[in-house]
Amino acid sequence: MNGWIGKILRVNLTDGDIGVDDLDLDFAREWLGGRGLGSKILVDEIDPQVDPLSPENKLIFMTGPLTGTGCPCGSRYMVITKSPLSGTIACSNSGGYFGPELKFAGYDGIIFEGASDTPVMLLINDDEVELKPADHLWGKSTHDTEDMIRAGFENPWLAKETHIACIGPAGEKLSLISCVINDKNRAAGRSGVGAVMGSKKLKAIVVRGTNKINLASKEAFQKAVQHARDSLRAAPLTAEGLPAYGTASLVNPINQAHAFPTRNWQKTYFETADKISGETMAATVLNRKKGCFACPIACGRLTEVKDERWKGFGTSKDRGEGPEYETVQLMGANCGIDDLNGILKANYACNELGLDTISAASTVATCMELYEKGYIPEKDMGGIKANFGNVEALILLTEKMGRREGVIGDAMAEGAYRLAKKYGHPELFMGVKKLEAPAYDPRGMQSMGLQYATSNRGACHVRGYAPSTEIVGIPFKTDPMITEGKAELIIGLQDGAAILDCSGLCLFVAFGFAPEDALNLVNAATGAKYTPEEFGLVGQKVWNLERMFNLKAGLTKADDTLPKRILEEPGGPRGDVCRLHEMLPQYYSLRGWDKDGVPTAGKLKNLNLT
Amino acid sequence: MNIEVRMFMKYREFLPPNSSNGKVTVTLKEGSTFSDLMALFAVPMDEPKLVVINGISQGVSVKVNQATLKDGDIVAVFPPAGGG
Repeated sequence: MNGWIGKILRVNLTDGDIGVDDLDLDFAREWLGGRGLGSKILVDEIDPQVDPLSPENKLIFMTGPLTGTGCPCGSRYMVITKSPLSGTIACSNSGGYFGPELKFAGYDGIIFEGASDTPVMLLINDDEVELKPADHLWGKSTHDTEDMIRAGFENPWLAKETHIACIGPAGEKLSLISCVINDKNRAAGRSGVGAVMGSKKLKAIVVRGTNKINLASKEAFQKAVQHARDSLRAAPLTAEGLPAYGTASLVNPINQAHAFPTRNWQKTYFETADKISGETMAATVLNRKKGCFACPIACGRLTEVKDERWKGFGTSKDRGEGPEYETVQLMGANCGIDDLNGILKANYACNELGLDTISAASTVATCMELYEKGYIPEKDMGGIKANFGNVEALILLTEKMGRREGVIGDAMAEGAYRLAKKYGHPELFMGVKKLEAPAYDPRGMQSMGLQYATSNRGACHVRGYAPSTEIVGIPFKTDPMITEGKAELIIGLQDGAAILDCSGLCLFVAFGFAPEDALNLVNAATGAKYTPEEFGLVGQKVWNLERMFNLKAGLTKADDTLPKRILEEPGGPRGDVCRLHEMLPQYYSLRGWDKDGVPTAGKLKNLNLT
Repeated sequence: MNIEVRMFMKYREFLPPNSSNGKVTVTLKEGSTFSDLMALFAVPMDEPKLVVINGISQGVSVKVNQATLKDGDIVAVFPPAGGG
């Protein structure tokens, strides 16, 4: 096969069986790869009502046809399962170098079934695949895990060539907001996928591969790659903004647009936002930028704590990668904090413990509001004064959360929804479908509210990146204050993101690629001859597949909503609420769903989903 | 009319020495455009900028050059920014 490898590993952790499934070409072509292919396999193989932390749930790692081919930004893989946090289908995306290495080893993906009684790790060295005990790694941070695994290789050169995905203590302890970490600091972050891996006692996957990926047409591929590179070089965001300042270059623009969640979304503007911006990061704590495999953008940040006050504080290292925009915003303004060095420590703690930074930061902010209002008894706090603005509290609570330490750490490890509910105030949870929302306030851009309410995994920004048109104006500019036309806009963005998520490309290509670049790359690599229409349809199929799973899992249109604060308390530049009710009915209708948000039989037949 | 200008990233360099925190308030005649405002600071106009006026983003384009300003407007200027 071309682009795709044509092989998927199947590992049964209950009995230790390892096999290889052939990937059928028609099946691959229908679902493209990554999010589509992995989700289809999951939907076919598990009961939507399954307990996500039971052995009956499956955990799927899946790359796309472009992953590892060397095309710009072709580095991605997905972690697909049923989420223990939200009860929805989960599909978490990560970059770095793990996905490409899996393809070099000769596999499009891995399906994990069952659960081991004792900690194990999967070692893949081309066609040598084995499960080995990982008791000695259990309890270790993600960083120590990688270091110890490499130290265990007899051949140090072989050790250096591996790429590793693992969980930290948070995933081991089944924190519902734990993640899978690869290459030490990249995360398949959202939806508690780390806990599913932990429930299977799977500590790490270690991959090394030496094979090539076949391409249908080398010349066509090279031409498409050149065009894609030129597109990225010509676009100011991908050529200058992101490499220079990283994703935190968004801090000041989103703040000036009054879409900046502040103190658990009580306000939408933060006076000292500049102190936590990408520019300030570059001027003070940035060592250098870093890219994923084959990425010319290099938005990653290698940073280091420079403030003596925070060096050596807590248990995290004083250097690492990040923080990204979502992290710095939610640990910053949303916690009432403008101390960048302190935020670095909490960010590093998330990477080392294996926590999703968005969910962790949001849970801290929720804790702060609950605490300030007197809803959490002091005895539960372990001596921490969790007032907004308290940097020590941010760092210490993050560490407690990652280890399930103390009453408050144990409660926070369950995420912001369950924390708020435990202390009697679920309305202080800022998210949708129990997934904590990222750092864009819908009162500053109406369509973001529709995106949060309808995203299949819960409140999410990457599944339909509304700020692109509402704030930045790529590929065209929309008016953030109106609701007209937003249903159509969000559907387009959602389906477009889904296609990229299937292909193995990073979503940031959307800031620079010409409309035909992704299609041309996929066709040249795979030889699949997708027409633009067929290619476009993949996104819709994936979206409806996920929706049907969620409905069968028990979700209803009642879950397509927003927190009360966003629907009722004014915010944004003009003191608006998010007028979701003006957008949702049209969204259902344009999606071909009935008024309860259920895909009609006609729509499913149309998409070949019956 | 008085306009508060907030410059970010490389555009901060174009601000006069009396500005602080990347902000300065200037006086322009009625009916002035964004272009006229930028001319005060000798900011190059051929490159696209992300411009936010009174909290409403105008997006990244050169079309904003013709936008008319009014008294009390707060204008924030960035090079193109994005992320996720």
